[in-house]
Amino acid sequence: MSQSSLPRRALRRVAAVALVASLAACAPDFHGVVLDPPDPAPPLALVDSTGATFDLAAERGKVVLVFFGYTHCPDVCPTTLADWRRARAALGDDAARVRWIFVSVDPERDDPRAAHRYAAKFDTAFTGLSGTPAQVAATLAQWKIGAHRDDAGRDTTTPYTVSHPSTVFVIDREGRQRLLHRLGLPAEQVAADVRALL
Amino acid sequence: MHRRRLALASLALAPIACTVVQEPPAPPSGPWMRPGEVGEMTAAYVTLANAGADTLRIVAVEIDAAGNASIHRTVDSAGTARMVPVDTLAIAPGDSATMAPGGLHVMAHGLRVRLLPTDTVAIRFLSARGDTAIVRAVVRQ
Repeated sequence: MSQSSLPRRALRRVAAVALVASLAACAPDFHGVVLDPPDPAPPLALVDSTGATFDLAAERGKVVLVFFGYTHCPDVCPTTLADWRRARAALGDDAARVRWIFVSVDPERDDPRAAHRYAAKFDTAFTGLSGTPAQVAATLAQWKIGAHRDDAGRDTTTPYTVSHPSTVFVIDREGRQRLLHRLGLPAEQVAADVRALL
Repeated sequence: MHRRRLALASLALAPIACTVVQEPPAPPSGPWMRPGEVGEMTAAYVTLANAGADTLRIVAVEIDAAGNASIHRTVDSAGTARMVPVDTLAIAPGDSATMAPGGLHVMAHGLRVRLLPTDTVAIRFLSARGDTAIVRAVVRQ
């Protein structure tokens, strides 16, 4: 190691460290919970409003947001879908590369058409899916999530409510579960996360 | 050599453009209610303040536009949301109860009329003492 080579090597090292630091500063700083390592998203073989079975694998190349709720939901579901609508608007042209999927976990009241009608009420770009109770149960098992009717102590004049996931699953362009968006994540932050994955 | 050293130094110092996330705009304030079709379920969000000397206990809610109304709280536990009825909403003197999406809300079901944005809906809160407070909520998403 000659004396003349020391400053050059040191300078290279400084430059390399600075570059890595700069790139790290620009790495996606997600607002959602990062799932690491990201697992492949399970199938979502439920039925859309046309009677066709949805194929999540066919959405590779797009970012897909999946939310499990029900159409009689008074609070969490409309809150999430209204936030999605604002997020989609914030994405502008990038929204063309995003799918927004609302899955009903209440097949007794929500057939595929009802699920889609509800989702599309918030934004016509949203897709609603449902299926038979057996199909929905199988999907929930594949996604390792739970949902059930809350009948305990219910007044018979009151429609039943349903416990369901409050989080949104964000699937990246490679079909992997990358993020979880908590309930109430501001639409601008939803859009920022989606844009970072595009 | 000097040129190469200069290039490395420039690389080290050059700022790299990052995406700037803008702060979300402040949401509109005031009592409000989500739209809904006839027969559907929806929710209203208001803030109730107790200016009296005694604890205010809200024991019932009435909305003419709905078949039934009641106070509920969304409880989010380990990523699962569920509705918990609030039979009595107690508000201490000088305190207030703020309803908001994902938390405390008035659940209205069996809508008798279609609620559209800009409509106004009267919500009556009945206290255990027999008092009634009327709040007018604006329909919006």
